[in-house]
Amino acid sequence: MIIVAATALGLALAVARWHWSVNAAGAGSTGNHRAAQTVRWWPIAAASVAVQLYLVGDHALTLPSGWRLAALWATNVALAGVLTTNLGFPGMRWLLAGMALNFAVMAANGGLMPVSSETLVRGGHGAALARTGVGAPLRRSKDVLLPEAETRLALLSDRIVAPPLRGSFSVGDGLIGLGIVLALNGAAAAAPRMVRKERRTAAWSTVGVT
Amino acid sequence: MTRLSSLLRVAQEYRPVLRLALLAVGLLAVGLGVAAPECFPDDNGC
Repeated sequence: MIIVAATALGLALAVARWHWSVNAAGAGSTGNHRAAQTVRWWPIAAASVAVQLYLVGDHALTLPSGWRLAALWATNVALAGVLTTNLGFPGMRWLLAGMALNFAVMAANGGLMPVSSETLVRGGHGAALARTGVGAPLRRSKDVLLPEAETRLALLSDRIVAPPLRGSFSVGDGLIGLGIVLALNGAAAAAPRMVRKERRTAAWSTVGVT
Repeated sequence: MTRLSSLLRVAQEYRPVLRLALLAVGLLAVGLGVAAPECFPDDNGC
């Protein structure tokens, strides 16, 4: 899945960058290294994802669809709040742009992300067509099955496949993945600058200047 | 005691990595929430 893959890639690159900067700074310097701030209010984001997982699960199918959609969009509002609170992170604006594109196409198509039967087949999930009618939500996803000709803002829908990965994703999802990689690398890049500043301050204080 | 102190020293040394990992968890939570790929991770391998 693209978001998990992007996070793993971003973390691996960030750790490699941090490791390289520590080596470049010289032995014994790691103790003073500071790095990333955490995402503010991230437990709210995690709770929102948990609610979303419940809402797209089989047990929530008994809920009226209007209620499910309203609850899904309530989590979207909470997530938008968390994201805008953290815009200071490098890369966060890519996430904001991706979110805006996803929300736009979802709102234009009744509240869920449209995906066509052709895309499902290309993404290796053609079997889902046997149990999902046109216009019905897909099990365990925020998607709805819609013919591409009936999809508003079709270019922004889930229509990109990346073999050998299964499934499909949207342009917005791609931007969100890119934003995560950039945010992690930006945080790793900030650490050496902080260390240099700390060293300058320490050097001046040893000669009596604070 | 020596083992504990060396463990603490290693933890202190790699604290930035732990913080990066925590940042990644936060970003993953936000990303999963606002993204809408065709399926969540499940037994289909999505």
